[in-house]
Parts: sequence; C-alpha cells; structure tokens
Amino acid sequence: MSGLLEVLDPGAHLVAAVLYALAFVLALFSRQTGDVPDRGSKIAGAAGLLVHLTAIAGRWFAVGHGPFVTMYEDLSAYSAVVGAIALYLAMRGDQVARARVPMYPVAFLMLGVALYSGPQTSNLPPTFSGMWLVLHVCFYFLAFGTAVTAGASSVLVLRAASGPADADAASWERFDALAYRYAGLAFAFWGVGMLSGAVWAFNAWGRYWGWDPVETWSLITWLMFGVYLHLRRFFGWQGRRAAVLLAVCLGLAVMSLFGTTALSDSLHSVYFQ
Amino acid sequence: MTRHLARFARLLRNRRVTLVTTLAAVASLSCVALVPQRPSVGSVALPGVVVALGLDRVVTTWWFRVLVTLATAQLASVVAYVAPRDARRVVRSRGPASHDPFVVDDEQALVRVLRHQGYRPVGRGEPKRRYLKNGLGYLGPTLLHTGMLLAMLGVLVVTLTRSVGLVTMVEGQTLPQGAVLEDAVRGPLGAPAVLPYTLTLAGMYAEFWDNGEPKTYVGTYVVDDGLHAERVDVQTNHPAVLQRMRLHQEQRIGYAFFVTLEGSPTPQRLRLDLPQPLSPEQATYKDRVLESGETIRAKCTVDERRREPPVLTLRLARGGQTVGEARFERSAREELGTYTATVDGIRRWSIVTVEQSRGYGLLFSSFFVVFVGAVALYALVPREITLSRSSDGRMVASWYAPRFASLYSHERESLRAAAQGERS
Repeated sequence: MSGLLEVLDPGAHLVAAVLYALAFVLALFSRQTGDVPDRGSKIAGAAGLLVHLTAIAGRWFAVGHGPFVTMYEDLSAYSAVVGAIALYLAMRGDQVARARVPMYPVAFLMLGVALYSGPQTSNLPPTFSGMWLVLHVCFYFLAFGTAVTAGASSVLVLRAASGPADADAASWERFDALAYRYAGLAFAFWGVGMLSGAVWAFNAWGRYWGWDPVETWSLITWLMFGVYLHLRRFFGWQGRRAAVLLAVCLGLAVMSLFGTTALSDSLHSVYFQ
Repeated sequence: MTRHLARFARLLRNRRVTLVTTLAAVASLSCVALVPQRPSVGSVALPGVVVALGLDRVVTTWWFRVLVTLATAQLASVVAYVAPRDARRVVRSRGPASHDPFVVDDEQALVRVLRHQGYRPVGRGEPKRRYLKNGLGYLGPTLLHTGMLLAMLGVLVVTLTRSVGLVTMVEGQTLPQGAVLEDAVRGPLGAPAVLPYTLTLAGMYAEFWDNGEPKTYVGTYVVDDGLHAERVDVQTNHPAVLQRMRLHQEQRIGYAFFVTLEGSPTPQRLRLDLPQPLSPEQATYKDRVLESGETIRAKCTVDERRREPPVLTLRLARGGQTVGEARFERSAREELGTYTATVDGIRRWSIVTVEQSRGYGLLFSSFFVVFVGAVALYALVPREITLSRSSDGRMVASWYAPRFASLYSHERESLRAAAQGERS
C-alpha cells in the first residue's frame, strides 16, 4: 500500500499542477463573478486542491512523516497553502476573488520545481520530531501563503495603477486593503514561525538562536514586513509605492526560504535538499 | 520628573523613531548576513573600516546592544500606551462618528440584522446605542506588541543568566559535581559553568532506519545530588529538566575504541572517539599523534541494520608515509607496522549539553501571545455601529471599522438596507 502511494504521488502532483493552470486560465478569462469561466475556475481550483491534498496525505501515510523534509515535500506544501487561499478567495464571490489570478501560477510553478527536484523520500533525522517542528514549518507555510496572497493583490494594484485613469477605484482600494491585511497575517505567521522554530532549536540543539544564514535572513524579512506595515499604518503609504515595497518583502521571503538554503552553508540546508 | 518621563515615553513611541530603529535593525542584520562574521572570519581579509565599525562582529558590538535595548524600550512604551486605549475601545458606550452615516427608519429590523450578523450590544444601560462585532480585534495591537515585548524580555533574561556548556562522556563514566563544562558560555548573572550534580552515563541507545541512517538517540544518565540518585532518559529533541538543570542529548555520539599499542618500551593505551557513521556507506575518521611523532588515522564503519559491532581500521603513518594498516574485523589483535595493536573494548560516547539559563518560559510563552494578537489584529477586524438622534429627531447610524473598511463595505450596505426597510 505504501509503495503504491509513493508511485502514484508524482502523478497526482502533476494532475494538481495541471488543474491549477486550468484554474488560472479560466480565471483570467472570466469577466464577472459567477460567469461560466469563473465557475469553471473555481471547480478546477477546488479539484486541484483536492487532488493535491490527497497526494500530500498519501505521501504522509507512505513515508511516515509530514511534508517537511525534502525540497519536493516543502514546495508541495507551500504550493498547497497558496492553492487553498486562492480557493478561499474565489469562494468569497466578491471582487477580491480576482486576487487569485496571480496566485495560481505561483502554485503551478512551485509544483513544477518540486516535481523537477524529484520525489525521493528521506528519513527523519533524530532532531526532526516533536510538536514544535510541526508548528514551526506549518506557520512558515501559512506565512508564505499569506505573503503570496499579499503579493498577488499588489500585482493587481500595480496593474490598476498603470491602467487607464478611469479604472475602478473601489476595486483598486479593495486589493490594496487585501494586500495590507494579508501582509499583516504574513508578518504575524512569520514571527510565530520564528518563535516556534526557536523552541524547536532549543530542544534539538540546546540553543534557541544561532545566527544561521536562514535565521538571519528570516529575521530581516520579518522586520521588513514590519516596516511595510508601519509605513502603511502611520505614514499613509498605499497604492503603487506600498505595492513595490511589498514586492521587496516577498522577494526577501523567497530568499529566506529557498535562496539561503541553496546558496549558503546553513544548518537548514542540510535538510532542505 | 514625571513630565520628562512622559516626554521620553512619547519620544520612544514616535512613529519616525520607531521606523528608524527598525530600519537600523534591518541594516545591522544585513551586515550579519553579508559580511563574514567572527569566528568564521579567517582567510577572508576585510577592509579596516569594516573591522573598526565592528561589522564583522555585529551582534556583540555595543551599538547593536543599544539598538536592541532601544527596541525593547519602544515596545514597552507602546504597550503601556495602547493597552488602556484598546481596553477603552472595547467598552466605550459610543463608537467614532462615521463620515457617511445613514438614517434608521426601522430600528427593530436593524437590531435584528445586527444580532444575526454577530454584532453584540455594549454596555448595561437601556436603550442600547452601540453594537460591536469582533471586539477582541480591538485588543490585537496590545497583544501583538505585548508578545513581542515578552520575546525581547525573554532574550534579555536568557542572555543575562546564560550558563551552558558541554560534557563528553563514554558509557560507564562518572563526572563529579563541580566538573568544568567544555565550551562554556556564561552571562553576567549566569550560574557557574560547572556540573551542579554528579553525572553518570549509564548507557547510550541508538535506533536506526532500515537503510542504516540514525533515527533516535537516547542517553540514560544517573544524576546524583549527594542525597539521592535519579535515573533519567534523555532523547535528542526532548530535553530532560532536573531541578535547575536541563540536559540536551546532542546528535554528536559515536564509538570509543580502547586500544593498546605494544612494541615501544611501555605499552600505550589510547581512547579513540570516532563519530557515529551516518550510514553503512559513510565512514568516520579521527587522527591521533603518538608520543613518537607517528600518526595514527582511525576509521570507523558500521552497518547498524545488522546489529553488528563497529569495525575499526587503523593506519600508521611515519613522516607522511603509511607504514602499516590493520582492520579489526575478525580479531581484536592485529599487527600495525612495528606495533601490535589490541582493541580492549568498544563503548559508545556521547556529548550532552548542560543548560542552566533562566527565562526560557518567558521567551517561549511570547509565541502564544503573538499568535493571539496577530489573529485579533488581522483576522478579527472589529466592526461597530452607533445609533444616535440627529438634531431633527431622526435616528442615525454610524458604522465604523478601524481597519480594512473597504473589505466590509458589503456588510455596511446590508445594515443600511435593513435600517431603511429594504430587503437586501
């Protein structure tokens, strides 16, 4: 049974990726909430997420641990969170549902990189146990998913800013507010991810912080999200310049989660292979 | 004095000062990330100005400590300011006036819809004039900043009371109370970096996956405070807490080979501690220079799946030339160049971290407070409506959301429709 699930796993991930791509194309062509392409996009997004979560659960059952050891597992989980938030936005049924349009390519791309890196399994080393590890990675999954949502909303803000002057101001304002809100959630989840990681590191290595490259970049990213929130709340930043700053924050998030482990000699990079 | 203190507190929570502090922290940490930091600095030659400014040792410089202290003081000032403000916002009897109030023609219908949408009346008096939804959301800023403050205070307490060090032990070995810890780190208020109790490593148990990779390390230790002895299992990632001491089982374990070399005027007894091989295909090595100037290179291989003892291979080098090699697989006694080598025993060795710092409870409880605060701030957006009489005697409703109001405009519209007797 376990062997069969491991064999089916990459295929299921591929199907999920194709469904996400379909959800993106249909959402791109939908003109209003509830029209045929919009409904098709929701169905494709929901089906993609269902297949994706089933694949993750099946792999979990087959290998005996959650999606937090190999690059394949990590990227798959990050992508699933992005897909889930995209579906949530779609189901809201109002204008902010458009924010899912830039999110599906991210989910698709991450699944593509995951499949390219290969679905090899890996055993859990002695330090990979306990609730704090699970909390640590889950909060980072949520942080990345919410940061991508904020980034996607900012893309729509930038698009509206570069469009005709008579663009719908109300929807522009909503995407701006959505970016602000999800950036706040990303900031919070990122902080909680760092703190729960500190507890895990303390249990595993007897120290809660080690100025490891991943830890340092992670702290920089969190502080930059703090700067963004502060500028929005107290300095009236919104629209284009807020969107550009958020893009920088998202870039730092990608650097922290994926760049540092690949480029530097980090304790984390031992596991994220 | 109080006036000066209040001015100082206001300065600390000034928006620009907060922004500058945060950006300074980002710049400092960018130095940590981009400039090689001590002790990793060595072969890298850094410009004199980098060294003079301390950019090669950022986190131990005085200016970084000042920055952290300033950030902590700012958080404390913000919490002291926002806590009573947020509490008032939850219990106040009237909400802020809306710049777009609407007339209420059917108050009963409005109240019905308000209750249906989760708005609750605030205050004990009648008639109710303020209805609030997600009131916890008003406490979000207080909780989030309190969580961050707890984390900073936790870091401060842990740093001041830091007392941590390592102990390397082999199975059966006992270290007496007061034994000095290796690689000890001690803060200004930290306990002495010595063993507070007598410690014995009774046994080391390791479990492996099917492919021979390590799965679990468990050390069984006996802690003796002079009055009674306690036996405790310490597993990697699951530290044991004994009175005021925490024991962390490190991943650094391995095999200690007790070897006797005969062939020189007096036999030489060696203890060779080799790290645990991480798989059957990977060997671990250790070099030892003998009194004669010759070098012994030890190699350890083991296939833990077969539950066989580890295999030691010794290579003897003299002046850079290999002069003998012995593999102790079938026999415990082999010829090694001009020596006869005997493996007298094999036991596991292990490193355990002895931690006596304080403040971890404070640091780690901040996790929960930050989480609740963040959910309250960004997920539970408070919305409220205040009913009042205008100068012409008509009932007017002011709907208000302190943040993300545009995301709830549909809710406002449904309330307006109910108030004006429309079916939404």
